[in-house]
Amino acid sequence: MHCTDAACVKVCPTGALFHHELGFVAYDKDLCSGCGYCVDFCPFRVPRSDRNLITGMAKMDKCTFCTTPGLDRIAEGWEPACVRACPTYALTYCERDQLVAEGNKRVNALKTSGYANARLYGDKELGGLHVIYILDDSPEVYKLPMAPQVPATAIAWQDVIQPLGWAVGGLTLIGLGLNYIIAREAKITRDLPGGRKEK
Amino acid sequence: MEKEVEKYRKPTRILHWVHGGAFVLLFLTGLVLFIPQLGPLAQDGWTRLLHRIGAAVFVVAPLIYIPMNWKTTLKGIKEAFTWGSEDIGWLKAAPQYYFLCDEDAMPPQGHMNTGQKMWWFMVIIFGLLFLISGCIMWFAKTAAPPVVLQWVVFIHDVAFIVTGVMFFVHLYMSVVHPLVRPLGTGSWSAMTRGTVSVQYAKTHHGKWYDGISKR
Repeated sequence: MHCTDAACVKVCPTGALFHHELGFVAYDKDLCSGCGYCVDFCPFRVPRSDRNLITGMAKMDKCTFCTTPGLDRIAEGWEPACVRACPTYALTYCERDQLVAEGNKRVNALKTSGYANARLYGDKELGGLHVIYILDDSPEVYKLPMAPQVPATAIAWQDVIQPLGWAVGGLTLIGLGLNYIIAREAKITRDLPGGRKEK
Repeated sequence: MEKEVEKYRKPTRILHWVHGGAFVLLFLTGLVLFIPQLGPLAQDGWTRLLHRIGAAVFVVAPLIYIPMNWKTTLKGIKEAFTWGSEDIGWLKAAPQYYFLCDEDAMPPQGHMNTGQKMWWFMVIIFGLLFLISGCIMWFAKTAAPPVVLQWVVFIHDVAFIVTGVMFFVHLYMSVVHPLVRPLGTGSWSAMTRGTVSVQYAKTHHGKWYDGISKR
């Protein structure tokens, strides 16, 4: 769904998932380690992955927004292949603002022709998706979450536990270093003739 | 040669080093996912394969050890869960002992001193947490609901941080701290040759030595 607040980018440990300069979530499959965190944390369950049960070897797959290195249609100034190929023009590719304006126009048109639940999906969700749907009914009908969110576990893990881990680890190493300096000094003094204790 | 007493039996020492080696491999291959700058090392998942090899050793080694050494296992587990007044004494004396090298401040300790026991206790508890969370990630990655996997990753990471940090404390206390250097008759000897000198046993594990010398 190419979220602005993308849980998959947040949890990806290798940088295989990242925000493209145009906003959507690009994917460098070569970098994927197959950990599957994106699969577990995506509120839309978009990333998919097969895995070898014994070795755990896996590669995730998701829409790369046609920016796969060597096949980068966006860099060429072309539209994504799905948009190009869609025979009924159900998909449109253009500037996001334009897309939202056009979408709202169509939603209003739907509403006036009796689709009371019609709505634009992806305009505001998760900081704004970079795939926007015109729905003529509630999102649930289309198996889309009503209020998609970055899971709290992802935030607790990435924004609290990981920095805390760095702090605890760093302070411990500093503490051990200080202890070494102080204790070595104390031991030398202690073992001096006439020191606190003679052995 | 100075008189010596046995502190750790040979199977226990082998388990210690095999398990510790597996932990180092697991720690390093896990660290790759913890430090974003190292992330590209995990490319194509080969560090994850090494992680699984480490995990297999980490789990299988105690599983082989336990049925072959029932008595030592039970004694060890009992030891990890037995806490008393000498532990309070250790906590009170620790700053003076470990910073000022005042060895007289420490009350007599058992077979393991309180610091060693805390680490051993954590090895059991976090070892089990690693085992459970790791098995879920390994074998139920596609079957378990996402929310379970989210919590499991979280728990695995917390356990990684706690044991990773404490592992450095363990290394430091056993081979780096000025009081254990030069590595001679103390815990280094206990975990390599299996014995400590009677003198060391008396001064560092007085309660334990009293117990075994009476027998």
